[in-house]
Amino acid sequence: MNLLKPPPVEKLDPEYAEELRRAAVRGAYKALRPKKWVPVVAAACGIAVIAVGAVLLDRPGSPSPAPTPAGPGPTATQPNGVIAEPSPKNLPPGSMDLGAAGAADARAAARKCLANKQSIDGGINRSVPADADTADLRDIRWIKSFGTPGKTRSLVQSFTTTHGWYLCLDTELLKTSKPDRSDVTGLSRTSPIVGINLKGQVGNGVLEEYAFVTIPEVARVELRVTWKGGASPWSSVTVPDRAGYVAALQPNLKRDDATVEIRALDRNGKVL
Amino acid sequence: MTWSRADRPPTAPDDDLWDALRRQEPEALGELFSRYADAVHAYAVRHTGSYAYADDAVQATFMTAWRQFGRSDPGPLQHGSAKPWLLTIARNELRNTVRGRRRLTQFLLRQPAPLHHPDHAEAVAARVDSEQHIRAVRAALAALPAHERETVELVYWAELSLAEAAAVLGVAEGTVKARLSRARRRLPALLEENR
Repeated sequence: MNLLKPPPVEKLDPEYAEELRRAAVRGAYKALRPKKWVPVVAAACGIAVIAVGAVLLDRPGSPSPAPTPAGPGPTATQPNGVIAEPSPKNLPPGSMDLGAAGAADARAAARKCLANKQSIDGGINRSVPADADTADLRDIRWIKSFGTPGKTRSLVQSFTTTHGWYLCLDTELLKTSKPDRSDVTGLSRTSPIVGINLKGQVGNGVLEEYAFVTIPEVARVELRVTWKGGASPWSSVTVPDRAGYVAALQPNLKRDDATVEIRALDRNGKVL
Repeated sequence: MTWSRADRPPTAPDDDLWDALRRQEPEALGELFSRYADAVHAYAVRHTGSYAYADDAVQATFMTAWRQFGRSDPGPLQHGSAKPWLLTIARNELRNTVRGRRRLTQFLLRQPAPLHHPDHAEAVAARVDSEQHIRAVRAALAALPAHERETVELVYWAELSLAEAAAVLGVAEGTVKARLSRARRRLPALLEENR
């Protein structure tokens, strides 16, 4: 027995392989379908698009506004462990924050989120959906939603189970880590944030998303879409518990032409 | 025994295919499947010793691959081949199924009678033989530490280059070399014991 020689393996049955291949392509088309709705619905709901645009969107070529001031810093943790939200009326322009979400909504979403076996950046989820019922909810909030027709808000939350720490956007598992996040290393005041940037073509525009982990000093994270000769306004979120999600949608831009700028600010509005 | 890229048949670079995947063209996923389904399948069979689990892993790997392109841009193709990237996904998918498999095995052990009767069709018998052979080989390799075993699987069995295997394992190329060197030193003894 030569252990360095690959043990022979029967090839996939050609008919079965073709069946699998077709199923994969069908699934790929299906996954694209929601994105194809966007231009149609955007055209039908012009007012909604303009309303969102007033807050967040800019057209390529227009001058970039001055950076927005930092919003209020993180607030105190409530006795039940859930972190209190700042009042939305005190938030700066471009803020995605819509206020605190309820624990019932959070646990329902967490159950579905924990059904994912992997986070979008490839982290392994060792919890099961039932663990959501006893999870320690850390930070639960509503934020503005972009890119999905008819959907105005998303629930973003972080929580811990005995198996890990989780960051979820609605039912999507963005990041996971050890319960105490001790495996998130390399962060410092000179490198205060780490995350995964997601870029997608949504209709005729570009959606830039960023799921991140920060050092405790970071109170706010801001993101904007940039392109040759222009930039969108900053879109921002408060960061009460060292993690979060921020996004911006920029119309009339091709995915390949877009780049993203991200910055972390402390509670005094200073860029770290 | 050493291995070099020169030993491998030349393959078409995947750059154009990769760019099409980055543009979210579903037919490109079909082409990716045609090129690498057999490689992913063989890796999964050898890794698990089971054709049934491997079939599931192939499907899951390509769907996860597509989702990853949908969620984020993985950037330019590394090493000119999508194979290491796919095997990284397959490796994660197989890890995810370990817990489920353990639970299923425990459930089957608790049952009073077999849940199904063996199928004696020729094709099935051939698969059973193949699975037995792979399990025997894996049992012999079990004397190696898990990280060395996995390195042997990727370099010798899946025929990845050292750099590609390093990318799959998330370690430096030098680490892969060192692991192979240590594994080769142990293997003559293993061959003896399993003769």
